[in-house]
Amino acid sequence: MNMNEIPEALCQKLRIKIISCLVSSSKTFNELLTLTQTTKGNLSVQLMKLEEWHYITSDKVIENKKSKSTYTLTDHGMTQFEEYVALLKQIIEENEG
Amino acid sequence: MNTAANEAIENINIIKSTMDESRISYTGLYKLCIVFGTCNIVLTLASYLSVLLVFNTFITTGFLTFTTVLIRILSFAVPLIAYVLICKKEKSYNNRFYLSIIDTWAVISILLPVFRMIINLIQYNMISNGLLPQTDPAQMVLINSEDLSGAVLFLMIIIIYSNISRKPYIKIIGLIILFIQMFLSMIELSFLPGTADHSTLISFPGYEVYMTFSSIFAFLVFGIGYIIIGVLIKKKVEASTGKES
Repeated sequence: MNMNEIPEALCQKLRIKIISCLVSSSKTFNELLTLTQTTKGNLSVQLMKLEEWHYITSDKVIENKKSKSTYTLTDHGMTQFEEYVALLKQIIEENEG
Repeated sequence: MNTAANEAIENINIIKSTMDESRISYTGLYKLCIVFGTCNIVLTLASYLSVLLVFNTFITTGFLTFTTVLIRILSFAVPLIAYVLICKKEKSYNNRFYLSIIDTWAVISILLPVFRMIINLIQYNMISNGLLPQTDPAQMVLINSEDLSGAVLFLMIIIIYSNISRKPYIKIIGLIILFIQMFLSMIELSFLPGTADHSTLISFPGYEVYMTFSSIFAFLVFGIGYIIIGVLIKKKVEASTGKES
């Protein structure tokens, strides 16, 4: 990955935050809402986009008569994210050097 | 520094802080529970054993004083060392809300025996100087308050486990334990030393040692209970991550 090849999924701060949240483990919608500190609408839109791009998968379960969505980072999402972090490190190192 | 580098630093910081916030490792929690439970079991058994030895053998009462002081010191020193060692490595990356809860629990759990030891020393001095009667009911009140505080702290751990395992009904078990502990304390405080006919005590035939129902219950909950919760959290951690231990 280079500067001109950064995927659209990683071009927006909220989407970067969402992916960062999912690196350690799957999270529910409410957990993501707390961690990203954004609005429900904005989060829903970004989650849908990430799902469309196959960066994340969602799993809906019914708990206490309420539907609950859990989001998980896919292997593709993880690979892209790792490459993106490596690129960021490279940019910083080049600038320092 | 160019714009790309500035943006890279900013994005790295966002990633780092978000990952720090979202990552919760319960490794320290289950280790603390197991250490705390084991420590409670060993020290409670040791204290009763020392009483049995003194009253049923030719060992002097000086031995009892020594073991009592040693057990009191170990009851906060062991959890303190465990807390420092276990939580030290988690401080750098764990979720700050989770760390705050663990800190609250650990600090109170460790400080309770310290406070009790200090109060006992003050009480001992006051009894020696004739300021308090030999059979001071305050001693029983103190033990009961410590057991009650312990039950509240145990309820806290049960609530954490209930949230980790996503099983809200487990909280009811914690509430029942707290209720039983309060009920036993109430019974015992109704029969304070000097007025009690030992109806709330269990004696061992042939041995000069008495145990209250409350202390037996506290022993089971704060010893075996903590170990069970620790093992359950460990299983949950291993099942959810498959890599943490």
